[in-house]
Amino acid sequence: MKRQHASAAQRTTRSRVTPQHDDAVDRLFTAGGVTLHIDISTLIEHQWTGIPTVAAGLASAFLARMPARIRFFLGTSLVETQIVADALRRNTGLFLERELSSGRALAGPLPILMRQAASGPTIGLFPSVKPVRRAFDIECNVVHDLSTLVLPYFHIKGNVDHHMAGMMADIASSDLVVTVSAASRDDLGAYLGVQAARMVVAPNGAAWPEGFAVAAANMLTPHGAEPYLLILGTREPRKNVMLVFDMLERAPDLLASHRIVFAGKMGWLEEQHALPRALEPARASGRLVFTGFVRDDVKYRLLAGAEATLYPSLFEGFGLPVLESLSAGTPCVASWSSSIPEVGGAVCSYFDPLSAGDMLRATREILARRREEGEALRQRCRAHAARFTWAAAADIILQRLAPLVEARL
Amino acid sequence: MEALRAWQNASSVVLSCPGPMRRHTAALLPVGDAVLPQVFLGGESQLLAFAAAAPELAGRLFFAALPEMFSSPASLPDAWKTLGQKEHAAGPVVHLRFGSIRDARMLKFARNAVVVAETQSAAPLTASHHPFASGHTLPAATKRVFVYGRETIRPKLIGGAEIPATKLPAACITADLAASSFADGSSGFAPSSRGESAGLELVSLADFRSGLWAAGVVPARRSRRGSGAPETTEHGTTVLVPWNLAHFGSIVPDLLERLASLRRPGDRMPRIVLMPFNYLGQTGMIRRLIASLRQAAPDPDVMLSDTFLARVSALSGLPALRRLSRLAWVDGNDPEHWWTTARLNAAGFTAVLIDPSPDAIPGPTTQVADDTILVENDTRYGALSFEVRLPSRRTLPNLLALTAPGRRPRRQAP
Repeated sequence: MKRQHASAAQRTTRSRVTPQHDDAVDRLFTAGGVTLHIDISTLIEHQWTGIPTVAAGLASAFLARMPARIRFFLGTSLVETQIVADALRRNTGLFLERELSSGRALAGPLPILMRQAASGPTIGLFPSVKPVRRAFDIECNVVHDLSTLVLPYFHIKGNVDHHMAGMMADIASSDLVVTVSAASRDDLGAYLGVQAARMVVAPNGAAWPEGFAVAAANMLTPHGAEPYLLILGTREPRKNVMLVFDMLERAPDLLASHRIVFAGKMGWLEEQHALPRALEPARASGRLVFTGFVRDDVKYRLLAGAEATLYPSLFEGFGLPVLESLSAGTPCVASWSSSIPEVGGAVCSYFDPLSAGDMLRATREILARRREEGEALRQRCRAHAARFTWAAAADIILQRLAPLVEARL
Repeated sequence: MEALRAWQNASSVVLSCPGPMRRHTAALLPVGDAVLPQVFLGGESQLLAFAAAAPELAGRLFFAALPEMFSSPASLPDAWKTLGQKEHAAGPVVHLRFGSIRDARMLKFARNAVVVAETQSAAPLTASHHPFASGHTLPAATKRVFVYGRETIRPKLIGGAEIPATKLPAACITADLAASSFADGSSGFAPSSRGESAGLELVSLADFRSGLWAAGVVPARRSRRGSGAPETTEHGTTVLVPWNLAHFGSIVPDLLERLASLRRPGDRMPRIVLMPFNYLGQTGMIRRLIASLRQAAPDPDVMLSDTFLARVSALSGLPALRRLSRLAWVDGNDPEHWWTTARLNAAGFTAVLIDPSPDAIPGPTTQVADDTILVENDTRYGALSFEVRLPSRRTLPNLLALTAPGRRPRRQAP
């Protein structure tokens, strides 16, 4: 059983990365004795969605590409690489947290706290908020979106405080700021005046264990399965699910022909996206389904089996559910807000996120395309999504770090 | 408009202000189609007054409920498409932002300017990590500030850089009112005609339901005590109290609590009609006020039934508002108090300023605020504290006396 698990884990790791990088960077890092330290504070959550998913994707890609040069850390302590690698294979921080609590995962202080200097330049990569600053020779942090800055009323106070507490200092102390989309990069420029030269856009990836597609293909029952539309994502006001409700109230025929499935954990400010009374009967009869959080394998099956996914978000730094949908071969009807068109490209159908009528138009359009184009549309979705990989994101970051490393050698 | 001469070649001028976005049917609308909750005061009124003052821009004026969601020029064609416009004139886009400085947002690919109506510093005492929490800092992409014909706060760009400011003509303060036949009580309406209350949304705190308020639905119901809507000015004790929800140091909740605590059975206290403005779509502050009045008032049911919320959703509601009262108390701590006073006066109301300045002189339209308090609020910009002044329990009777029939101050010219 243990051997089977390891084998699946290896396949997972392989599928997350694509060898498409410039070896010169690897040689530079090896020759210079560079170590890339990755902050794992976002990986301690049990259920990885959003930022933890991005942190895990990047960590897996860096680890696969240059394992000898990678260290993980939490606060001011190094963390055992094998234990983090195990968490990445399991796709949860559950056991990582246990190992950290017991102290077994800790592997000594950060190089800056040790008497002996590191053998070469140290780089700190922070996938989100920086728990420590100026602890590495070169620092690099990822900014996912500025929604807590620009749209604080979509968040609870704790969220805003968490992200705003150190944002300015994080950016000021970083040599390189990574954004996951051009939209987020432009936000940093427009609101905080961060110079473009200090930023790099490294779009997120989407990767599934190879077995998921096989399992999904075997489990789906095309004859007899009821068609459904899927809305994937944490439920919070910014995700704008009220627009879906508005659309369904306008189009009872859509609710009759398709079940509507909401998958994702409940977020915050629930009163702002509560189900309207008029749709309660649909929930009671099972036409509207709220699954709550779903595991990755279930998520993949839901994505692969949907007629289309709907993504009405008002503001995104990236829009990972759009990419996940396309990577599963399922077309997405998405709002044209913020970064979403960067992710969805030409394969998505877009709508105005304040117009239920426009959303209905785009939904009918994509359903018609599915009927007309069939498998060809699914293939185009997958082909588009294949451009986004964690390996490519890691490579973009390494390419921009290389000159900073050279300057310190 | 002269003030915009440098940007005359703009193909479109997009106006925006903070507000509940779900009321709009599209991300971009002709200004005339925007559904704004409170058109008489606050950012919405600044926007509409500007639009009315610039008829030459009419065909190029649009409203964006959430300009920050437009990511690139490529977003605009999608928005035009929703409007049913296949093509739109090419050229630069200008974005004018109205409302609180703290809430200034950018249309990223446009030339951005912020219109500032805030005339005094209201910096919080407590620090917040949110870069815009101070209310004095504008986003980096702001190219210009427009101010009204009066000294206003001069915000700086994030990082501290100065920003050029241009004065707007006086027409930008009241052009919408002037264009409306409802602007002044002396013209344009017959007190007995039906339908005058269209445009005035009114509900007692006892009847307040946040979901309905947020949706812009205010039922014409009678309160539990059967008092219904406040009566006309003949009742003699109704006062309008503008309440800036974007000013986290507002004295309005404390003033009401103080009034509630003074209340004794049988007293003839003024009936308060609160006029919340700069409403973002969340009702937390209103709900908190109701909860605190329940605690403070000796007769909370009476207090809540006799205290009302009012919104002027269309200027056609002004005559009905005037019938409620022609007298308003204006919080002088509010950064927008000058704008509020100007609008009230222009529409036929008398504004009594609750003046927190140390050299304030009491008069028929000035009540000295002599009691310093600390107002603390958990806000979307962090926990913010403000030192503000309001009438003490000793001087509050003076304010009430100004309200009494026969003692009312005469209306001042705007």
